[in-house]
Amino acid sequence: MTAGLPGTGVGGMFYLLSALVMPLREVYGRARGRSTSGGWRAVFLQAGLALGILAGMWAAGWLLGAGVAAVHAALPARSAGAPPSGNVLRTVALVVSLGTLAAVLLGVELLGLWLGRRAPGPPDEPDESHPEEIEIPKRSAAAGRRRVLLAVAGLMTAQAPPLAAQTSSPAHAHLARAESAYAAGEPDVAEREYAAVLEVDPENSRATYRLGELRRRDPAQALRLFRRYVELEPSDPWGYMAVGDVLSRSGQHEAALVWYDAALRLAPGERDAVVGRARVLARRAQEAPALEPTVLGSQDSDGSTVLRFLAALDAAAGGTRLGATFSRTRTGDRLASATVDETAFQARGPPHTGWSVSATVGAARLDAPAVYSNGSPGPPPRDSTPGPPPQDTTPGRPPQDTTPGTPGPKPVAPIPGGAQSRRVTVVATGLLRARWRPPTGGAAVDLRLKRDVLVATPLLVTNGVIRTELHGMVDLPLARAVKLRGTGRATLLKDRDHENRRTGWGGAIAFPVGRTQMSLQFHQAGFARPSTAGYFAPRLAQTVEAETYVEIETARSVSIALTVAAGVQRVARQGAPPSPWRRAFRLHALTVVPLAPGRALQLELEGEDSSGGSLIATSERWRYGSAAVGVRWAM
Amino acid sequence: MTFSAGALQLKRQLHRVRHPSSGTRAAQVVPFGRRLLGSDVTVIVPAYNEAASVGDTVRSLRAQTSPPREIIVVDDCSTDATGDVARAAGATVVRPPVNTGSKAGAQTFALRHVRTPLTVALDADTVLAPDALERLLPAFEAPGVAAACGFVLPKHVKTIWERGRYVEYLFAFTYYKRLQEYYGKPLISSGCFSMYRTEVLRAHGGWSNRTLAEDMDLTWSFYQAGHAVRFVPGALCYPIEPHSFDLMRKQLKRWSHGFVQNVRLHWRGLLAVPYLRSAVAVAFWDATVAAAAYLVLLPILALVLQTPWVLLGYVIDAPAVLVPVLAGAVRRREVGRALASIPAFFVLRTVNALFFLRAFFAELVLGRSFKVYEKGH
Repeated sequence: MTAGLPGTGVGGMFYLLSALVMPLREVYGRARGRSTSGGWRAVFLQAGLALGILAGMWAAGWLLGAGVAAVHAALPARSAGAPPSGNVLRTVALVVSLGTLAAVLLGVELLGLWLGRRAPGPPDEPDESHPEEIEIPKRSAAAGRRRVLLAVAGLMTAQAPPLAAQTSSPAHAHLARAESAYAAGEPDVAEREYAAVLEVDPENSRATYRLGELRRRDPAQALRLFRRYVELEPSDPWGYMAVGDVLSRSGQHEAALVWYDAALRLAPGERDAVVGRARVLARRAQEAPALEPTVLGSQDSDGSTVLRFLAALDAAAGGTRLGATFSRTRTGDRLASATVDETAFQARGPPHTGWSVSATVGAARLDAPAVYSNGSPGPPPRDSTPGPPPQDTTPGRPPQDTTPGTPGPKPVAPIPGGAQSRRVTVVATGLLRARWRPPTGGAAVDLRLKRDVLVATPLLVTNGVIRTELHGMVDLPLARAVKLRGTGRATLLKDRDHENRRTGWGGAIAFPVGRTQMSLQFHQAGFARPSTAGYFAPRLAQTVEAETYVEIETARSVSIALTVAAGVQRVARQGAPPSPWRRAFRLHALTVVPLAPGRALQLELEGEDSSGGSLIATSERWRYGSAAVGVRWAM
Repeated sequence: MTFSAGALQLKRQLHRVRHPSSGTRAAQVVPFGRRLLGSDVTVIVPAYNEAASVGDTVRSLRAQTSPPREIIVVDDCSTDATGDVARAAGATVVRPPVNTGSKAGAQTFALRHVRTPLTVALDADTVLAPDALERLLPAFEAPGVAAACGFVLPKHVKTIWERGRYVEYLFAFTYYKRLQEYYGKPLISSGCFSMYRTEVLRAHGGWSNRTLAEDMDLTWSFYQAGHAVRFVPGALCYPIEPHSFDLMRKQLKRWSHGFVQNVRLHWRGLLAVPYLRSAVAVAFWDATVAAAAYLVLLPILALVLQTPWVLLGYVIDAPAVLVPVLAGAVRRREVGRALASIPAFFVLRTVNALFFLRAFFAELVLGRSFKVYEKGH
């Protein structure tokens, strides 16, 4: 049967384009080492047919146009009924046809994206945090759950069908070697030996299964091997489960569910089939497009308050995750207020043997007073602006920040009660992140290049402080669970008039203690110059602290991730010796409450008492608290 | 946590390594490495009152270059001598206790008798080219392939309807089907002649009569389960196509309702299968919106714009049809026959469009599902 109108309609256009794309696809496939059915002969045949059709259509159109014009010339002229020229007919037909085809194909893709991943399933894991204007290290509560799941997967695949006697002895010898290599944890030897078994005895289902397990990282091969195993042992549900697992990892959740259902038909109530099926549903739910509205409020010791409304959209397409974020941040203190609207689009590439890359592009619209008024009615300027020297300097000492190039105080223009002019600026923002996490364990690297705007206070927004930062982190596992971490960062801070540079580095050693992870950290950072743009720019800031991190999951699947850090810190202002060590304290708590399958409530609390260290603070003694409430709504 | 509890209670079925010389079990699996032969194939021929044609079908099977191990004709409680004719021609005849009511039912009934790794379903009015089975066999050497189909052409090309079908098949199998095959997604494994991997067929429960197009249902189910389907243009079969409008009407009604039923049934699952989802979406669009424009809009436009030139739209794509049809006809040395049949194609296409549009309305708009299986010849 041929549904539709063979030859014409969007079908005709669709197959025409399919044929014209064939040569390109063949070249690409060959370059990737994949052979296609039919080879070049089929490609040329079909592409030739397509070109023939195009030529025929063109000729027919031309002939028609000529014929119609001739008829029209021969007949007495009539005002109505003038035929449209062949060209117009052709162009209109082409445009309409192509446009309709594009709309139909796009509609199907969008429908697939929207519906193909809808989620009734167990509550999904909380997303990673969005980058914020002041950087705070975060970790998702899902990391612990993921670890358990991985352990389960590892355990499941480690169990193997027990060995049974073989009749042919070369295969038997290979099989025995393969089994012992597998048990001893030598995957390369085991893989070689199992492949050797299959060469001698191609119907050895045990070797087929094991080889599939060893080649799990190559989904195409693993799929082929597991399917073969199902053919060899159609009554073993583990084969169907293995196929389902490979399909699910490649994103084909619907197909995976069919295979898991087949396994459950064979062995109803088999716990691992139920568990595996639930895992597929969870993965599918995780990939479902989701909407995340969040509200955040914060207050700091300088009197600045920040209120932020954020809406994030997140969806998966193939293996890539796409997202869009829209936010409105209102920051104000007793003197002024500013608004920053941000839009950003993110894409995270599919993980590829340990690498994970993501990119964000966006823009921020800053709306702030053109001039930040710090005139008489208000409080004295903060420590960030050079003004009257702080109490701890003795007379006779040069006043703060008199090094050449020091900016003078910002213009003081008290406008009692009058409306201030506002300035609107648009800044491009972005984030590029590359992570390497070797699948076999080992050193991990995380690199980030970021450009954003500091929005913690209206002064910062008025001055339009843009931060461009390169941040690198290396994790080195030492002994069993002990890890060494090194970080380095270089920041460029640019406001309307000046540029400032900040460099920092740090090291930490982390080890588990009971159910928590403890770490001892040291950070050091320093700015090249002082600044009056609204952030505190010490020559040197050093922090030594101890941090505890714990993840808790309650009975109703509410997960809580808690980070508490306490230590000492000292700061050296520009041109001054370091201050004495003072206490520093940091707290972060993230709670995720699952509401319904695919929906969760997120609560986040943060507190800080320090002058920076790894952050950029707005004054020397700075205390900060924030709370955020958000909902993840999977669609 | 549920996951950790599961991990502690792992059980594994005792695993048996296949013994090469074990009995029926060995025969069920497609051997790895050995070339596939006709003796790995059982052919199922569903027949209801096909005494006139089933003999030719069975004889064409026995005359294959790679003959099947067994030919099972399902005599679906025929009232004529179908069973006797088939038996005389050399087939095994099975008779369900009551009429199964559909081709799907008859074929599934015979599935329990199949003991070979490959199964062929063949219509009782279809004869095969002598090498048809032999040409389909290599497709199954790839482990992921669940079904393979071949080139279809009408056995008789005389009346306008048969000629229309002739051009339609020549077009579709020379051009569309080969493209679909290149992208790995032949749209349907034709019900009149297809070869299947028995294990997969069984796992899907055989053929289902939940739609009127069981071949489409099965093919799309295979794709969603992750299997592959192949089209082998070199394997030819010749079914008897409807020669009168009355018979054509019945076939078109069955096919059009079957298509719409399958789209309604499978659309969610298909969204996960690339290329197939696009091909089905495009076909659905053509069968509905484009068909409506074709049938209704063009004449109305001609009237409204007071110009007959608009009606050129019916044949404006003649080259799009001519080029593949002639290419296919040249290869078969049947150019004269093809040229003479082209006008009939345009007639058939218009009637086809009408039926698909009606089926769309009946099934999806009015909600009236048509389930009565009426033969087309």
